[in-house]
Amino acid sequence: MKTIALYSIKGGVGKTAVAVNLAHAAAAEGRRTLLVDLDPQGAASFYFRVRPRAGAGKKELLGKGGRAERAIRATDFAGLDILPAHRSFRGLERALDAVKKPRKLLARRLAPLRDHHDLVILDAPPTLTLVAEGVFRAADLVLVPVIPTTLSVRMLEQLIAFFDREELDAGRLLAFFCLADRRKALHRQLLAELPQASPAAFCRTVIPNSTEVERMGLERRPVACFAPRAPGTMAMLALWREVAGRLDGC
Amino acid sequence: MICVPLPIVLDDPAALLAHLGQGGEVVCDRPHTERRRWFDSFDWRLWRAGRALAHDGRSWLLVDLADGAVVAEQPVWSPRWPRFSADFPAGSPLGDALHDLLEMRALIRLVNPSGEITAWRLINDDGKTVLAGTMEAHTFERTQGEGVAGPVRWLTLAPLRGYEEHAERALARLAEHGLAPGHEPPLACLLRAAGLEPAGYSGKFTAELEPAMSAREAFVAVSRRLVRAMRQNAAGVATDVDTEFLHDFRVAVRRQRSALAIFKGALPDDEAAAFADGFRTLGQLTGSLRDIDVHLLDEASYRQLVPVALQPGLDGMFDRLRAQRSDELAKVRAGLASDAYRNLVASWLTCLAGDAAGPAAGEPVCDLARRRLHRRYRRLLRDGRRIDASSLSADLHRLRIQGKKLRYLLEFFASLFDADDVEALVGRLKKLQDNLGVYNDLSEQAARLEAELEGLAARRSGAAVAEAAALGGLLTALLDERRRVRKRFARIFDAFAGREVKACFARLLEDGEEADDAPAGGFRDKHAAEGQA
Repeated sequence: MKTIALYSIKGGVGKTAVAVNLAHAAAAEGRRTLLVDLDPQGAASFYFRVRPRAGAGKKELLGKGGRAERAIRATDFAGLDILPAHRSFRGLERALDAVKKPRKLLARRLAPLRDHHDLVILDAPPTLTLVAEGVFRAADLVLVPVIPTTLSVRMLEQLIAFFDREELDAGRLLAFFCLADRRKALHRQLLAELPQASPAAFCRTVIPNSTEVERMGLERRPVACFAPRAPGTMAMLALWREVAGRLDGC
Repeated sequence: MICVPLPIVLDDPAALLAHLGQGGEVVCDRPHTERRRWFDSFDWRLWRAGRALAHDGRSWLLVDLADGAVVAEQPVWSPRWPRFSADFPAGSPLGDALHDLLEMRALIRLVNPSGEITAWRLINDDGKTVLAGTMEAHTFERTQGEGVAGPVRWLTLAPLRGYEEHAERALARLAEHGLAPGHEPPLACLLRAAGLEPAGYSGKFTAELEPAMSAREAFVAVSRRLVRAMRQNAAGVATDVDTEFLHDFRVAVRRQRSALAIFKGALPDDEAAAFADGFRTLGQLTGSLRDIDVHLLDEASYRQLVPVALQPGLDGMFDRLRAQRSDELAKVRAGLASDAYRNLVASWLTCLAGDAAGPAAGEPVCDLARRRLHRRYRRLLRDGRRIDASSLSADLHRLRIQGKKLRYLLEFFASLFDADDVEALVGRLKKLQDNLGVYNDLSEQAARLEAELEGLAARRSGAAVAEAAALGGLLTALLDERRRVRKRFARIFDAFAGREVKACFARLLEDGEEADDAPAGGFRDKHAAEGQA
């Protein structure tokens, strides 16, 4: 079983849309996939129209004797399940704080799922806390969506500094451009220059700003379902192929 | 996947679905048509393994009977129907799976239904699918040409992980209509509507005997089963579908002859003798063809026993065997089409239906069974103990026959005794029989090879030399294997003749006394460990 995390220090960069579409692409090619929505905003769950089961909150996910499987529900797509966000996930940080070894707890709780899933995708909340650390430790790859701005380099540097401080392997980080608009000269320039200046590895695939991804909130399904040949969809697929290649090498 | 059979006449499928979805919306896809042709071996090997094979025009599909999931798939590669698993492309996962399940049996067409399938989904207020399934109606042409049969209808439900309560509620609503999940795969309903009984044929023998039956009644019950087996297989022999029809036919004949001996006295002696003669002739008619089949079935493994360089030398022998097979098959076909055969079967059935009784016809079957089992078991132990290093192949062959007779007894009378005890004994006996059987097969094969070699001595061509080398290599390998098999006999027989089996037998016969009066354990075949072939 492999684990990918989608993480960003700031919100609104398109992280969850990417998580949803990567999960859909992975399942479509035959991997038994689970998307874990750790973000209490619950956007991933909203896209898949899945609500949490009654009582399937942070206790089920993290608590002693809790079984994460009980919270899992099938999406409308074959081979793709979701562990939906529960409002109690707002208290994940506090819950982890109260535990003796909080950093590895998430990874431990996810381990039993390998019997039924080939791939776990974690949609992480935008914080730099114990939850994030737990996500970083549980993941084989941490995908970081980056908007083409000069501040993005700083953001990546901050993230790597965090990794170094916590003795995490920064080689797991994989950045990719998101919400890129090639009509803007500044974007074009940064798309070319940033990867060289970046302390983290960058994907070749760029996710463009696209109406189809914007429409996901209305359609409430992955872009491949309603705009199969649109540029945004093709970019998501290409990103998945690139990530899968890296994963299979892990 | 849950399958709910529906009545043939269903007034309003849409209304049923709508009712299923009470509280939610049911969305149906447009119906699509699916045409599949289903296959299995004559003895339902795929079915018994929980599988089914279908051809849908584009691909071959091996499906799981429980949930209909496709386990292996092979796109159609040839316009011709494959008959055997070996006909599938080399390395095809489906072909390999079939080979494991079918072995040498041929695929037989079962039924070719045309199905109208409507996929439906139950969605909640968020637009999330909480339950999915299909509504299906299958029709097919009757093989007798009496028009179209069906429709055989069913409803499937696929509960979704995390939304199981919706499936439970749907089942409850179906129960209100008197509909409940079936306990069988939906394919079973289709097959029955086509007049086929899934797993309806088996090479195993079963007969339900009542303890209160007389010997004659029991004999008739057993014989009826055996004649049916003969007739079921005769057609497959004549059309040469696969080798096992002949095998099962011969086994039925052998069992019938054994029954005539076991139930001696149930019929008038002269009648019994005449029929015994008739069945013996039938056995002789088919013997050579079966021998050839066995050799040809072993062809691949024989070739592997001989170094690659020598393998072409075996071609001559196998080509001759194939030619001989054609001749023998023609003889068997003629025999099965003959008046002699037809009269034998007809007069046998008449005899069974009649009431001509022999001197022991009225003996209670339980007494007969106990007596025969007792005697056969003792005989087997006695003859087995006599086997030592100096024993000839003929002695082991005789012992094998003894074992077969005991097995037939256990099979015939199984229903009169405790099922577990019978099963345990048959299992123990099987180990002994397997050892003796392999030894016997190897002896026969070696003898045949020796005969071939002798035949070669007259020819002095280069081809004959190559063939002689190959046959020599093969003969050596087989005799080597036979030596190994022979070595194992002592231990296997000791296990059979030991305390445990004795106790099991005593329990079976409810004798109270030991079924055998020689001391248990430790026999004289110690010298066989030196490996006399």
